[in-house]
Amino acid sequence: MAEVTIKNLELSYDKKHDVLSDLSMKVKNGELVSILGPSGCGKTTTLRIIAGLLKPDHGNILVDNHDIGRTPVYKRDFGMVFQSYALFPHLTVFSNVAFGLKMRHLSRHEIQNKVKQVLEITNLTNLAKRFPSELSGGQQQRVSLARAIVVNPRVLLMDEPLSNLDAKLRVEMREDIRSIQQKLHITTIFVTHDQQECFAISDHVAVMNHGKFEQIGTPQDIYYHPQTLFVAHFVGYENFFKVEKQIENNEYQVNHQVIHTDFDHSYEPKYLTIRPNEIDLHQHKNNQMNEFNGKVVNFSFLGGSYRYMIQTDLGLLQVDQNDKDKFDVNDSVYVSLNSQLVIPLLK
Amino acid sequence: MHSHKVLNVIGTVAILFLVFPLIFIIITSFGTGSTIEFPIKGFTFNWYLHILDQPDMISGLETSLLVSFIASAFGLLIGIPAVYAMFRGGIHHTAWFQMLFLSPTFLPEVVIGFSLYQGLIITLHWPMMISLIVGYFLLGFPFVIRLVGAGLNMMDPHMEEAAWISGCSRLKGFFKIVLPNIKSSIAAAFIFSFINSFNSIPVTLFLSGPGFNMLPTSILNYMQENYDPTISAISVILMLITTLIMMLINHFMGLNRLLK
Amino acid sequence: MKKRMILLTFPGILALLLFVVFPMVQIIIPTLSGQGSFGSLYLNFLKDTYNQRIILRTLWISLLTTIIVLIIGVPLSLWIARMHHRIKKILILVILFPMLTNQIVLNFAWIILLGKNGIINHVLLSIHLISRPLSLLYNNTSIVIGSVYLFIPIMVVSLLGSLSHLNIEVEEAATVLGAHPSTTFFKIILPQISTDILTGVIWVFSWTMTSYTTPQLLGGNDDLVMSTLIYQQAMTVQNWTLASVISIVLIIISVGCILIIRSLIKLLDRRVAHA
Repeated sequence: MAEVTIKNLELSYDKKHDVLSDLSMKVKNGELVSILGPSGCGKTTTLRIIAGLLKPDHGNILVDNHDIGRTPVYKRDFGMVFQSYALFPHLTVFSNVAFGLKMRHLSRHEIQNKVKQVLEITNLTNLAKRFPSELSGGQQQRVSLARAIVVNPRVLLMDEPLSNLDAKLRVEMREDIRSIQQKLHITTIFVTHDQQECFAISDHVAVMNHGKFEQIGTPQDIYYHPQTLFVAHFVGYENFFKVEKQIENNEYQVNHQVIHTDFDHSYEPKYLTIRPNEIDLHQHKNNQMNEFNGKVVNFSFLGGSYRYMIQTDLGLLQVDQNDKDKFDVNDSVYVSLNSQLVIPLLK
Repeated sequence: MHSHKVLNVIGTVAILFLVFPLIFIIITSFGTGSTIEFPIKGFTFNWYLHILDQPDMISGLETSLLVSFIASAFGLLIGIPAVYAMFRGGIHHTAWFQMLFLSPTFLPEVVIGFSLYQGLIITLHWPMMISLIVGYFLLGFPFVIRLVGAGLNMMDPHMEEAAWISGCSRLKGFFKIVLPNIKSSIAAAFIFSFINSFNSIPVTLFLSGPGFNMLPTSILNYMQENYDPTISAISVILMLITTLIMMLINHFMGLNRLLK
Repeated sequence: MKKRMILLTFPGILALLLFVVFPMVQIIIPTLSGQGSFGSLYLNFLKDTYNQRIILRTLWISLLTTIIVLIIGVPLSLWIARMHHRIKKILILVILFPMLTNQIVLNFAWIILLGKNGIINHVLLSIHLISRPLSLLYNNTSIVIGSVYLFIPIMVVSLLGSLSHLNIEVEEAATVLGAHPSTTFFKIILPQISTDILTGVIWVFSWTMTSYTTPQLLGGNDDLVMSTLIYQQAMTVQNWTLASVISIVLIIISVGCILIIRSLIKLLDRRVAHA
């Protein structure tokens, strides 16, 4: 239950190769913020620095405006859920959960009560006497969550907590995590590589690449208004056009053609992008804005829709079209790009 | 899988080759003749009782057990912190530490015995018993490094981190989380150092002497002057100790794990 | 943090410096100067034909033992690896038992078997195959027999792990292609475990070469090997400098052999990786 500020975090490997560069972020009281990125982008490293398991070269971590850089891990009063769960195999579920409370020298009675309460919230009451090896993956996951939240941590850190579960359980668990987090109002930082998972539970998302934050915003911001090529790629944009020059306020030259965008922006874009399902495919010329002639190169069935590869003057386009109008290879077609949904990218 | 005849023959013969000599020892230990004979002409337990009349063997057994125990405990005491620092302390150049710690395995036991005899007894005038403890410690120490190291490597490092985050200091975390999870490796390391010390002959020969008798030396001394079933009987006792050790190993780590 | 961690290794480092490095330096120093020029003690030792015979005998016994252990140990390991689970466990117990048993016991068994009044002579005499007892004990052969007995388990232990993990379908593929079982053994199984065999060879060879108890108990007074010679020079003759010289020579030869086989393993490993 605190506010976390990360200021200009930097870490390099061998003092030469940057692992993290100039990371800054603010997590408000009770918020769940995700760090989203591909493996190796530095997201787990960032989380470990926040936890105090790693020391940064530069930068500060502030909790409620107090720098905790010199506070050792065990005095930070955090909770953490690990990817491997990291349960104590020699202790029962009850003792695993009670561990942090014992470290805080609570009375027997208080420990009993708190553990009982948390086991109830996490639906583990019946399993209290089991050992970790006697639990399923999902149950272990819940024990690990219970162990982290029982101490009423100032900040809850979660490192890919769902990646070892199967798809169905993952969806269930993420909803449980979200509801517990909101009920207890715990400031949470959640690391994941799964954009769907992250959009489903986060208040804010920080997309990370090569040790830098590419974009920080609400899930909707990230999804609908990606600002960089990397973020757009990561959230499912497929068609990218390199801007050659600006013609008018909202018109850009791409491959000697002109694309118009009605997307509100104040910066000079390097690329334009659009999702495959936001391109319209039709047989006859409609004389619309952003309309281009092309030829079907090939197509594949995706279930519910077809994905076409269309060779146009803009280049090769990927277009998703439902099956009402079916085209064949070598058909001549027209594509039109919805100017509202052509996104200009900063870099 | 259909096994082949050739393999069956070689395998069976080899196993018999390994087992039979030991069975002969057991049989001869019950013989009534005054020297070792086969087949035995009568059956008696007297040779086992005769061991009790050998004060050298009895006191040798006691000292052997005691010295092996102290040396193995000493090895754990020095080895566990070192292994922990090497595998969990983020120290650089761990390969150099390993090489130093495993160096006794590259030295012939005779040389270990001789060099300690020269260095500790002749040069530093250390008492026999301390020198022998040192010798046994060197025989067992590599087991501590290897087995406890393997145990630590198998343990999820996040487990310890989870303990720190839960409010546990590093020292407390070591005792509450790390130790309970490597205890079977520690037990195995102890048993292996113990039995290797207990069975060691060259190191014992160099570092014991008149007035400080160990079991192997007392048996060898007896063998020089006698060829009677007492030796068979004490051999059977030693085999029983081996059986006990194997049961302990099986209990703590499972014999199958030795072959992984 | 790192600095405090390194303190934990200090007792270990101190112990090994004091108990390994210091005593070793202690025995090396007198061997370097001696009377005469640098290394003259070593040259004198190596020039002596009596000593040469001992070195050659040591190497010969080790080589012979290793070869016999290989011939018995490799098929034995394969046989055990392919056994049903329960029998396999019993066989593993049989293999491990001698490894954990005092060497006096193991060697004493062969004294009983091979001695003048031993069991083998007794049997041969009683079936009138021989008229006088054979002297089977106290020669190079008995040392080799005792060493083979001691070190077969070592070979089995170093092979059993990887043999148990071999993919049987590879052999089945060879059989389907028309390979005879013996061809499969030599051309399919052996190449897959060649590095483990060499690891076993390292152990067996270097341990036979440096072992003291077997040559002491089963060898004759005229059949000294290097380790028994060290003990004799150190404790009986009290010629400590010579004992030191032999110790260093023994270490150099055994470590040298280990390094040669190791580099062979590396070569093989690379071949496996390329294949």
